[in-house]
Amino acid sequence: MTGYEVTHIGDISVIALPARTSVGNAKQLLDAVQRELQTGRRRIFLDLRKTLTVDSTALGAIVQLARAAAGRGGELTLLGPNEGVRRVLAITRLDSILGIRASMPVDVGSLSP
Amino acid sequence: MMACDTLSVPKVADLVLVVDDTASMRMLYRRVLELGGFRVLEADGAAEALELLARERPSLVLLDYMMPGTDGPGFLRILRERETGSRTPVVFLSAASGSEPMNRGFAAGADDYISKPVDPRVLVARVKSTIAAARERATAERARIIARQRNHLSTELEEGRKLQQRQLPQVPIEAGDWTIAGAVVPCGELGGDVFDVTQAPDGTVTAFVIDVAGHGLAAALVAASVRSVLRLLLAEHSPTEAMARLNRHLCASNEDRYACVAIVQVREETIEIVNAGMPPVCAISAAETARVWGAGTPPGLVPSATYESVRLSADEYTRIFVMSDGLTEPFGLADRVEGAVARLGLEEPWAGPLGKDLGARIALQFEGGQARPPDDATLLVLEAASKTATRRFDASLASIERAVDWAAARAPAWARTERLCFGLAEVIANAIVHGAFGLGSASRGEDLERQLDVIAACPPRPGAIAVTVEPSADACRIRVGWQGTACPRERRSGALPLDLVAPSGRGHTIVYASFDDVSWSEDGKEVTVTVERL
Repeated sequence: MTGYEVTHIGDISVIALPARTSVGNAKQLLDAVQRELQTGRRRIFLDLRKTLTVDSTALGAIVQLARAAAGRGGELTLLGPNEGVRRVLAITRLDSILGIRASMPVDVGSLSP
Repeated sequence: MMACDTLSVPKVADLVLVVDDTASMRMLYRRVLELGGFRVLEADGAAEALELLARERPSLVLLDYMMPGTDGPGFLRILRERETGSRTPVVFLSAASGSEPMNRGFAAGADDYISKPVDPRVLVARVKSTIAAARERATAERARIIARQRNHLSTELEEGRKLQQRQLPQVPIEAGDWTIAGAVVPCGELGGDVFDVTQAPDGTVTAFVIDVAGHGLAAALVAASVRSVLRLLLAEHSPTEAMARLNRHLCASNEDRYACVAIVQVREETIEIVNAGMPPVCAISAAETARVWGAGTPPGLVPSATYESVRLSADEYTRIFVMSDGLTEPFGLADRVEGAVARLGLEEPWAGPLGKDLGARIALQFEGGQARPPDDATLLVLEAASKTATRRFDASLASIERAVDWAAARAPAWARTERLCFGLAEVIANAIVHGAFGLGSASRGEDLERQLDVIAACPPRPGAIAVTVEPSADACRIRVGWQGTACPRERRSGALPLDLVAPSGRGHTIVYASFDDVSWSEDGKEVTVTVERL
């Protein structure tokens, strides 16, 4: 199973999603984000810049995590989804309830080391 | 080095042979002709004249009509009989009156006839004009001979060109799961490029392109020889070993020739490529374009050269292009085969019969077909047949990606869109989770984590998922069937309410938005999704 790489930049936890994020690895996504929330981190960025496809189960996981983050007073943001992922977010209308950013906020600097 | 324009070639005066039995007349003609700018030889009769003609080649013979022994016409007949090449012009001088002698003279082969007494100016003028007319005749004759030879050579080259083209395989070739086509457009009548295709009894298909250094007849002969040798070697050896042996053969042959060669061999599920000096061989899969660079010097250059091959999965790579540098270098694309593929309009798979118009496509690259290519231009295309294929997969989470990749690779390139991959991933995941594992959507509720644990704990069900790809010119249908639970009738529709909060319905929305058509089998255990070309 694909592991999820977590990077901390300022108060943001950036979790990189694999190329195919699906029912096959959605559990690891849930675990990775919940670990961050449990350690008190509130700003979660799911980095989709290398993600080619996301299935409905993974979308369900993302919705659940967004709700969990909001419940703890935090926020979950999708970072850099490609055109295909954006299209799926649009047809499932999740783009209206999920925060989406094309790039990292300027005030926390670059993701690149 | 002396400049050419400082050289001057002195003009040599024309030589005239005067044949007359009267010494005083010969003396008179000599004086007149020398004053007219000619050199003069004299003979007192036929015998001496024939002796002189065996050694000298006068521009004209001035011949007395009436001579003792062999007379003028008699001598002329002998002269004409002996002439094998160009014909020496002859002018008769005669005191005889009437038309009879004149007719006899012309019948014997004379060019002109002057009656005595002779006006010196007339004599010089008639000699000059006869020589000039003879020269014109000779020049015209030479031109005719050259034209005849040129025509002959053109005919031979044209025959050679036809023969060389006929020796190329008749394309397209259906070989196993592959269709192979190719074309050579030479820069002259004959070219140093060839391609060939062989098929072994075990189904192994091998195609290669040879580009012999240089152009024209010599390169064509070497190319034909290299092709024969390589065919024999490939019947016995692997592509790398065949290339190594070809190299040693060419190095040992002392022909001072070398050739760039690329071999593509398809054996079962593996594509093996050996490239020795050709532009990168281009292999296209659903996900990427692989470029296989030369891995070894062109055969014929370095006796100790070794060769390596690159292996690709025939499951993934469905189109392969090999081209000679005649299709890349003239466009400043020495190593950029993709650019040539795009210019040739080959990015999309063939709509019609593969290969029928390859030569025309190549020719169009050069001033819209109005010019010959500056170098021999050759293209070889291997395209995996777009045939219906079915494969069974285990019902397990690990199968989702494998099944999607397998089906996408078999879909025509125009169908390999993002939405196909999104939709297929969803269809196959549903077939495994809901169909084969029997976990209904309704049971998922809100506890996704627990649901994922249940899914992960499901034991794989071998071969429970069947995926069939049916490509056609206008549409690509993919059928996904499963053993297990049927999809409930009320869910076999795209019109499910989309609940933004619960996961239910999201998968259906993705599937129905991804395909042009979604249909279900009556028993609810198979879904067919369609991507249309237009």
